[in-house]
Order: sequence, then C-alpha cells, then structure tokens
Amino acid sequence: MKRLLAVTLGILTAIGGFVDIGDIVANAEAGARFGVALAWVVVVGVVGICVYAEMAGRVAAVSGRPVFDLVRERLGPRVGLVNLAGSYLVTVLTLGAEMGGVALALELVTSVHYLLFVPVVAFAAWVVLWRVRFETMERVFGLLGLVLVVFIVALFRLPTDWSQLWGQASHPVPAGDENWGTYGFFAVALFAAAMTPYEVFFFSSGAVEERWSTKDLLTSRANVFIGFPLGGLLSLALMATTAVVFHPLDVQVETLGQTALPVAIALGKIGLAVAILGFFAATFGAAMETGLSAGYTIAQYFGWAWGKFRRPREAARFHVVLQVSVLVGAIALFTTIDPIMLTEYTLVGSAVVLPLTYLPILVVANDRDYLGNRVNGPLANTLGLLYLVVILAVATAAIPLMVMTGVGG
Amino acid sequence: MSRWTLALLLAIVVGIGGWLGYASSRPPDFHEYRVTAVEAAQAARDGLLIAGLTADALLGGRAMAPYVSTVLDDAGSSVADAGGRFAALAPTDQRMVAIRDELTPLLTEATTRLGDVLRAEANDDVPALRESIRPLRPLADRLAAFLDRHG
Repeated sequence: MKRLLAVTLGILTAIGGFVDIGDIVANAEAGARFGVALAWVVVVGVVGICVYAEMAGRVAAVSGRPVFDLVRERLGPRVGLVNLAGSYLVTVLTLGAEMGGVALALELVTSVHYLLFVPVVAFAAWVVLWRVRFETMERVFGLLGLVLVVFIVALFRLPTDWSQLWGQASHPVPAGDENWGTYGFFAVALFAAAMTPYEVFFFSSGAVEERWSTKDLLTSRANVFIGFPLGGLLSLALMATTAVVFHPLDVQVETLGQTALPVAIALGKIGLAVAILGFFAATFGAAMETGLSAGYTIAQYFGWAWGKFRRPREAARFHVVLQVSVLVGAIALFTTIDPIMLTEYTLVGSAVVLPLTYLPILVVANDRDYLGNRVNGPLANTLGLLYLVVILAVATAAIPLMVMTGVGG
Repeated sequence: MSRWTLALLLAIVVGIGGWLGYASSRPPDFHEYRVTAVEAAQAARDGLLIAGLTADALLGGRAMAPYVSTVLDDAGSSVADAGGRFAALAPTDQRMVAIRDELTPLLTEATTRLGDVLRAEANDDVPALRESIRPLRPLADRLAAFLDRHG
C-alpha cells in the first residue's frame, strides 16, 4: 500500500512537473496560429522523452550514478566538455526564462511590472535551492503544477467544436495564411519543449538524489510511461484552448496573460486564478529543476561532490554553481529581453543541443559494464535510434528555420 | 595563432561588422517595407481583438482587475512597438508612400482606441469601458482588410 502510494505520488508529480515555460509558450502560440494541426508533434515529443527518460532512469537506478557522470567517463573529457558547454548554456538560459515566467505570473495578479519581481524570484529560487529538501521541492511544485488541469476543464466549458479540432489534428498542414517555414519552426519548438535536455539531467540525477536502486525501476517506469504522457495532455490542452479561442479570430498569442484568457472566458475568476497559480507552480518548479540541472552537469563533469542529499557545506562548489546560475538567469532577464522571446530562443538552443544530450544516453544505456543485463533491448534501441534521426533532423533545421521565419514571424 | 590567421580573423570580424552596419542603416526596399507594415497591422489587429476579449471578460465579472490591466497594457505596448518600427522606416518610392498613407491612420486610430480602453479600465468606469470596446471590432476588420490586400 505504501509502495502504491509512493508510485502514485511520483506519477502525479511527473504530470504536474512536465509542463514548463517552454511548453506553455510553444503550445499556446502554436494553438493560436495553427489550431491543433501541430498536436502530432507533442505526441512525437512525449514518446521521445519517454524513450530516453526511461533509459536515463534505468542507468541511474542500476548503476547508482547519473547519466552525465557516466558520459564523461565513457566518452572521455573532450566529448563530455562539448556536451557540458552546450547543455549548460541552454539550461541556464532556460532557468532565466523560467524565472521570467514566475515574474510574469506574479505580474498577472498584481499588475506590477515583472522586472521588479525578478530579484525577488531569484532570491526565492536560491533560498529554496539552498534550504528545501529535494523530495519536498519536487513534490510541492509538481503537485501544484497539476492545477493546470484547469485548461482541460476549460476546454470542455468553451464552445469547442470537437469535429473541427479533429479536422485540424488529422490534417497536419499550415492553416490559412501560414507557410511551411513557420509551421516547421513551431514543430521544432514544440519538439524541443517536450524533449528539453534538462529534463533527463534532472530525472537521472533526481534518481540518485532519491537513492533509487533496481527495486525502483517500476517507479521510474510508472513516472515515465504514465506521468509524462499525462503531462503531455496538459500541453495539448493549452494548445487546444488557444486554438478554440484565438485561432478562429486569427489572433497570435504573445504573452502569458493571453494564454490564460481562454480559461477566464470559460471558467471566470476562479478558473483564471487557478491557471495563474498553475503557471507560477510550473515555472517555479521548472526553475528549480533547471537550476539543479545546471549544478548537476557542472559538478558531475568535474567530479565534485554534488546533490541536495548532501549538506551544502559538503557540496559547496555545487551550491556555488547553483547561485551563479540563478544570478546569470536573472542578469539575462535584466537585459530587458522579453521572457517569452527568451523562451523561444532557448527552445531553438535546446533543439540544437539535443543530439549532444541524447546520443550519449543511448551509448551508455547499451554499456554492459554499467548496466549488466539491464542494457537496452531491441525495442528501446530501435526507438532510440529512430528518435536520434529525428533529433538530428530537428537540430539541423532549428537555426535555419529561426532565421528564415524571424523566430516564428 | 599565426599573424596571417589573426589578420584573417580580424578581416572577417571587420567585414561582418561593416555588413551589419550597412544593413542596419540602408533605406528599406519595398519587400522589407511591406513586411514591416503587415507586421504592424497584424500586431494592431491582435491588440484590438485581445483588448476586446479581455475587457469583455472584465465586464462579465470573469477576470480580476490586475490581470485585465496587465493584458491591456501588453496589448497597448505591442501595438505601440509595432507602430514605432513601421514609423521608423522612411518610404522611398510611391508604392511605399501609398502603404504608409493607408496604414498610418489605422495605426493611429488603433493606438487611440486602445488608450480609451486603458483609461476607462484604469478609472474603473464601466459605462466608458463598455463604450470604448464597441469600435474595436470594426477597426480590427479594417486592419484585416489591409492585411488581405498586402499580406
């Protein structure tokens, strides 16, 4: 019974923790511009993250070491350094975008300019990263993020034309005046949002933080195969609500406030308050995850003591990296770049570094020295290779599409 | 690093800098002007429709005042920014002048109308807010017609 409860709690946390600022922005923008014609990309992305997160969780549970640690050992310091540089840069910028999302959510309930909240959010992020236990942090924000289910409720309360939505989903082509370039750009952004690199760093390092062993493989798989797809449903609901309200008007969504408007129309003030709470929880939780991931990648590469399971004094350099990363994220926001624009850039950056993250996982997950007889089976390898091809295509197309469309035009 | 490599790198940096300087200061061609005009018209239309939906939500008791204020501010800023980018481009031929003469009054009116909505919301003046959102849709339709012609 206790174990079932732990697994259920893990699944709920995974659902609520799945959505971050990248998912919110990419899905809302795509829904307004293309209806749900890009829903298939979310499905493809969710399957992809499931395939690789399962590998990362298994590697961590069996070897007792996180993926990044093994990447450096298995592929050498040079490959590891390239991996580190790309991943760290994107993760820190994503951290900035997440903190921007938190500040924007606070602006929606106070109408005070978001930049005034940035120092407060950065300080709060640092305090939580410093003081709060890993499990508590993960559970609180993951479970609070579940309130984004309000978008699913709103979808049923809006005058949704389900046959029209199905028509858009089953005819995945650019709608109206949109062109293939823009369609491709948003496909890349949605795919990158679902497969953001920090997710696997966090998942595998989190497994070590929680001291998973082979006994926890069931928990790992339940989180991945039930939690992530249900989290993907929240992303689809975000896309569908903007598709119902904004797409028929041919209005583009550009702010977090606009993303919540369909919920206000459908459910009124309480629904709106819940949606904003969901934004806050999702972005603050993701800020914690990206902050920790930044620390994990650096500390694991250099072989420093890391993790929140250690006291800060025992992992001082890890905590310094966390502080510096939070500071860099805040500085990025103080350039006055629009957090939504920053999110779009980080999604493109994520798309570019995807192969650096996922190829090493595939290699390590096939290494018998680490995994013994728990190495990838034929299905995991087939899917892993198939996704690697997709990832390479997405990484190659990301920057040309960004330039060609002016970041989605 | 050899001297030649250093010189080559410097030449590339200077070349890129020079090209960027030229690209940012040269007068716009027709395509660039039309694209900026279309973006400004789209932003203005989006701003008007979003403002209408948001103010409707407030009037229907479906949204909190700070939320509405933020969304309306964002809509106003977006329209002003897009209008500013368009106004910063000087037309260099008759076709561009025709576009400017067609779009500028629409953008000015959009800014004024959004200002009316913002003022009514800030003053908590319900009748004025109701009155201010009435012209938004027809103006958005005129911008849509502009987009149909030039988009």
